[in-house]
Amino acid sequence: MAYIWRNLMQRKVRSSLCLLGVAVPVAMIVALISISEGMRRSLNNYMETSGASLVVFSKDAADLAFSRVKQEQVDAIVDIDGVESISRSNFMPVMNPRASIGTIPLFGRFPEERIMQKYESALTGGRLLRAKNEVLLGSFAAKQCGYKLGDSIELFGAPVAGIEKFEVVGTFQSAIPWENLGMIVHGDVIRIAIGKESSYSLIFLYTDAGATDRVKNAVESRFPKLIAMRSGEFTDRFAAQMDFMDDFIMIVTIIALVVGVLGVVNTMMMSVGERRREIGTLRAVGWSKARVLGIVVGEGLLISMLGGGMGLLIGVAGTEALLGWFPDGLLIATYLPSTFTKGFSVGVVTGLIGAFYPGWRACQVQPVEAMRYE
Amino acid sequence: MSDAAVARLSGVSKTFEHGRIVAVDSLDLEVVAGEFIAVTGPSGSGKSTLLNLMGAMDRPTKGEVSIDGELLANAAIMERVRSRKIGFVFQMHNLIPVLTAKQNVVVPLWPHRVSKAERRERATDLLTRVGLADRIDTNVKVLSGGERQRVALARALVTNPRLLLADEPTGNLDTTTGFEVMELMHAMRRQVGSALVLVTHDESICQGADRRFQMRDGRLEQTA
Repeated sequence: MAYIWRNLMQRKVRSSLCLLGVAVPVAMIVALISISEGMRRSLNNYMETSGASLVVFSKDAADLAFSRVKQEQVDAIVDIDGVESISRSNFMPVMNPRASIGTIPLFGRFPEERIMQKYESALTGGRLLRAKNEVLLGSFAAKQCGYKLGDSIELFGAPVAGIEKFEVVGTFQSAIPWENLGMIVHGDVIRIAIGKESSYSLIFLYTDAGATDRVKNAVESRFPKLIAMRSGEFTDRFAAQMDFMDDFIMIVTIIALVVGVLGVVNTMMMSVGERRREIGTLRAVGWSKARVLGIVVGEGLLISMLGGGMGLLIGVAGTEALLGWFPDGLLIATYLPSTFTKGFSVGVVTGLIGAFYPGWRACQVQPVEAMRYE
Repeated sequence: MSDAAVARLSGVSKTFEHGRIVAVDSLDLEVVAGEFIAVTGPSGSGKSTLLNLMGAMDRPTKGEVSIDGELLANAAIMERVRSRKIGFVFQMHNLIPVLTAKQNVVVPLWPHRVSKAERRERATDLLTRVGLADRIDTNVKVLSGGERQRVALARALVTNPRLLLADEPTGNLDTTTGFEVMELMHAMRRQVGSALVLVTHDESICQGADRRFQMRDGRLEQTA
């Protein structure tokens, strides 16, 4: 171990570069996974903070934006035994009123329904919605557009439901980052704006204690094109939409692994090349090929473990720095032990793979190399 | 092969480049226990190749090499023989630069099942005998040339080898230091009972040899 450690310390600059070659990919992996996990968590929070037992939406909708639950279906669901109350929700994007590019999400809510209550504690100014000509601004949207309480906003470019301008009556900072990007208007306004006046994208169901399964079965049997999901199931289903993120992370991991391996191979090959006589001497005094391989792979392993540890630290520090770039907690990260395990494992695998070929080359050094003096 | 023989070469040849270069040519030699053999000769005469063959570092193209009665028939045997029965002293000392004197001495013991305490004891004993008791934990990079060669001598003897092979051991030392190293080498190998095969250009360090050979064009010619 002392021999391995001192070999690395003997060539500090090269070892440091190799360390960095392992640390950077590990850091990237930690950052990507933590942010991806943060996004999943925010979806979960969205459901949890709604307080609903079930969420109803179109069974075949690939995205909630395409889900349609008709008013008559809503009326029937309300009458199901065990349903305490419902909250309707819809959504549409609009052009940023203060910029020529970019969109802002509009969330439709009904002031008298229960889901509106969750914004009570999130208010940073003003009050909740009461009328159709009012709007609540998420903290980021308010800042980005430069609106303040009392301002009037032309949201649609043309009057909707007879309303040309909407008055800002409140601002909020939600625990759900993407809600802060948007604005909340009366659900009827969005219904009219999208031209489907009798449909919603999502219905939150609040059920009596113990009635959730019964209500779920009743909704799904009466409306085969709808699905009623528990909060956890809902999160899982739509978190699956973020599978692209997992694919992206996988690609980045593979690229990082290849780059890291090449870095370690290069460094270790140079090291082996410079130490041919030393290795020949070790072989001459009776060291087996396996022992020589062990030394080189051991060096790779040690450097990758150190690089892996450093990568975890850089990953967290880098992620925090990145989050700082996005105001109002727009981006959040969740650090899980499994993320650190994955990152560290990638580092260790990098070192092991990267050191194996140089180790094999070191094994091929003949003892007679010890006798070459030129 | 006599009972006391620690090395025997029978009809050994070594050629390179598909036989175009003959480094060692049909050579027969027997080295008995405790014997001191000196081999001199011009550069390129095949001295180092001879040492490689006797040291189980290389295989002959023809003929057989046995060390302590064991025929060097394959790589595993050669590795074991190098590890247990042969000690090397190289011209350039070939110490591991990142290790201390003591660590260098015990390098040949690492593959063996020798306890840490025993390794330490053997290294301390040998380094004391070569006059480096106060340099045991010193990194070899800061030692002088003579001190390094003494560490290399201690390393060569740490396994109590039957055969000690020395390739120009004083080649990088001044005359006085060279003689000191040679005196130490003889004193210590006698204690261990090792035979010594010395390959050198320097006739002066061949004094006291039981047999002297001149190597020319891959052939050995006994001169004394």
